Amino acid sequence: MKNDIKELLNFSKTLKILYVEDNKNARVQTLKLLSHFFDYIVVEKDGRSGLHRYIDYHDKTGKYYDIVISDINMPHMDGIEMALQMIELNQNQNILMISAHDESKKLQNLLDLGITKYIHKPINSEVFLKKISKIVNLILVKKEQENHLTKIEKLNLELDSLIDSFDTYVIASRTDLKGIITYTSKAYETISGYSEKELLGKPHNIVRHPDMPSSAFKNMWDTIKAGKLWVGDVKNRKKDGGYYWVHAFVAPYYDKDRQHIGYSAIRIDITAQKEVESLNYKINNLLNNTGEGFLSFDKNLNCDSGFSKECLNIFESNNIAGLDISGLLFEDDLQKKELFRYGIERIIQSDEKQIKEMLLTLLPKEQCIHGRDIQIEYKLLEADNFMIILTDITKTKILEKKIKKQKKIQAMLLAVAMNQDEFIELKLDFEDFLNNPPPKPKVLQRELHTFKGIFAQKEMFHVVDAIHGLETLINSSDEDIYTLFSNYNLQHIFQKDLKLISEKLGKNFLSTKKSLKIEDSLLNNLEKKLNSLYKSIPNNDIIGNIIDDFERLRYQSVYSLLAGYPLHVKRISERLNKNIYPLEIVGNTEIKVSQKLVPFMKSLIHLFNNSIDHGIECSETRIENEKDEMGSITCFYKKVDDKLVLEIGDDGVGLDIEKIVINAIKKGLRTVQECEQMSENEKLELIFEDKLSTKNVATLTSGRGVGMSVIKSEIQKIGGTIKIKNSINQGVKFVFTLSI
Amino acid sequence: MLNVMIVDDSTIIRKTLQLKLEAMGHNVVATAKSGKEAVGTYRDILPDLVTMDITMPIMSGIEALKKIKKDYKDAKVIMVTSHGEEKLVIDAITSGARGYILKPITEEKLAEAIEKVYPECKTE
Repeated sequence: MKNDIKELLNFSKTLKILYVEDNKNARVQTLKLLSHFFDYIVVEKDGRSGLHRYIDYHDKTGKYYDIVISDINMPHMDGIEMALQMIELNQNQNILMISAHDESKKLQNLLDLGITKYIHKPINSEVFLKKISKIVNLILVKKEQENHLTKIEKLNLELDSLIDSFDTYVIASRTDLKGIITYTSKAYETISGYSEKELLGKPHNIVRHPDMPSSAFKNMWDTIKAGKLWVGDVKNRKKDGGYYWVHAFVAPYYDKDRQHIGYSAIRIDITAQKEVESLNYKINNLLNNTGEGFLSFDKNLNCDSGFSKECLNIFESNNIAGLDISGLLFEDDLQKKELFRYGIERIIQSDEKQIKEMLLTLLPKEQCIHGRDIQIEYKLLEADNFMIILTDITKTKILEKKIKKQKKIQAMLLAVAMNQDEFIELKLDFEDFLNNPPPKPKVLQRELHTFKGIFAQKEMFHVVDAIHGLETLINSSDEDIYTLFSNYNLQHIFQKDLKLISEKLGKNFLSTKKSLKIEDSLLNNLEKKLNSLYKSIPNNDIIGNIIDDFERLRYQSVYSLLAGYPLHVKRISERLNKNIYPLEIVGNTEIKVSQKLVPFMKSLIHLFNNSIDHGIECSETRIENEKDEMGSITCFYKKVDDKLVLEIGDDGVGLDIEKIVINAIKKGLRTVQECEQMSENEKLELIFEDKLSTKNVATLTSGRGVGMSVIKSEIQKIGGTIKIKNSINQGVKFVFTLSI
Repeated sequence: MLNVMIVDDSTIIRKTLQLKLEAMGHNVVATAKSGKEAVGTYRDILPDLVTMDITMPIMSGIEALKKIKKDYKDAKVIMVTSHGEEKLVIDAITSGARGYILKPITEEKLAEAIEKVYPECKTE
């Protein structure tokens, strides 16, 4: 019972009371007493109206009166009958019956139900108040209990939701003693990618990742089998082959009877943390071990705050965090910047990893940043973040250039070494030319051009470039050609190539052949002696045969003399961007010719150059003219009686007779009248005149109008003839007839 | 051995590709000079692999790729490209091209690109 009367009184004021009494005097007296306790009292005068009021109140409010106080003996319906009907409606109804002494038997029915209090008439106010207090206290306690119950209910609900969230957020599982899964939380299903169905009944190592050493699991089993808690980081395998890291707590699991029935584990997902750790490790590794620029950026192209120090050097910046990576990498290069942004955007949009990776390979791989050549490598990180590795390759680039030069040198050495004799001869000729330049400027220029062609065939790029430079200078300068020639110091440049050759091929390569030259002169002496011997003893077959043999010793096969041209044609056509089928030398390899023909064979280089440069059109033009996209140059020779017939032709545009004639008139080589009287062949032969070229712009290979005149002068020396077969757009063929 | 269709408007490139593919043991079953020709020929022949030039007259390689892919989801097309065409290659790959080769064409580049599409075509 509550001792706090004040609290009780306060509470009783809130209660609703129904008082039923037919006797007016009794009503007035009792109401006086009740009004000390209650503020809200409804009065009825008999059982029937009391019951009606009772039902009506419930209908209107959904509640019952807290206490019903009633007389027993009343008209229409007595108090007992009314109370019984009320109890039928509300089992918990508090009823206080006021009874006369002789009514106790009637009361018994009510009292048997154990809920009703009674008080005898005449009402003793002290006893009455005690009874009322008791009832009020009961109600109070009950109310408090009810409140408590709703609190518990609420708590239970909260607990339920907690359990739900436990299921959703805590990666939990239980196994039996053998490690067979008996329970999994939803979170466990989510992270592992398996459904509950797939997991229950399976051994727990279904999620074991091959990266985890078996020793780690042995340690865990030892610990939990000993009844202890095991704590550690575990990498697990997802159903799709991926992985996740968890910080796991594994403990033995007991049922209500303290029976050890299995193991339970809860885990925290630490995949992101592990990734950061491994990234940090990588970053540190990079920082410590290489000078590479290392950074990552997000899908908005903003740089991450984690980057290596080298980035700051490369970008010449104090901080790059949050900056736009495309601006940093491709500041001035709008085209590359756009490609980069476009590529990244497409990579983000794509869902397939394979496509993403392929697109990565199309992003710019190199960029010059603040004067340094930087190589850019891209890696795809999680969630469309990207990693970039920047490497300074300025030095590598220089090295690459060196390698390129090295390759050129090797090509030169190969070309030189392949025909040692020829090179020695060339060297002597050129040295002679440098020391004693021809007295006529025209001849000097022509010979210079011939040397350029020959050196080009020998891949001696230093000398070729130098001669080309000198030629340009001569053509553009008003100064005396000999001053230009001696100031240019070709000797020095030639020595540079020679030095390279003797370094690589051995000092003897250049010197040994000098002795062969002496042998050559010895041979000449012998030949002379034989000739005079033959004159003194005419018709001596033996001596005649020996002379023939001697001559044949010096003979060279036509094939070997022309053997250098296929390579030359290939190289020049590549340089001039012409598509030409490989040149094939067609002819009997046994056919040999005298040494006298060697200079002429060498001069043919100009003919080939002209064919490639002026004859063969570019592919586009050829297609337009319905010709094979690729041009051909032909070279054919045969022996006719004691003559060598050599045909060199191409399927290009052919010679433009009008242009040749106009050029000849312009240069003052012929007058208009002279030209009018010339035959077609004669007009064509004008191309062999000095200073004539149908091409207006000079190129490295041909177009100075010097080359073709060299051929003419060589052929005149050995007494041969030239025939030109020309047809517009079909090509041109030169037929040389020479005595062997 | 794969049945290959070569699509390129340049005779030289077609010849080069054919020689190299045949040297690698593949069978060049068709060639086409334009994107439009390629779409028609693909329907008739259904080759295992297509090498597709990007810039061509009449119909570009990318357009032809999209047309072929629309009717034949599994069509395996490799783009043949030059430096400077990277943006177009990105478009081609997002449109379903299975790889690309950057000119100059070499057997190694071809083998690498083909192996990505047909892993069983590994050349030692």
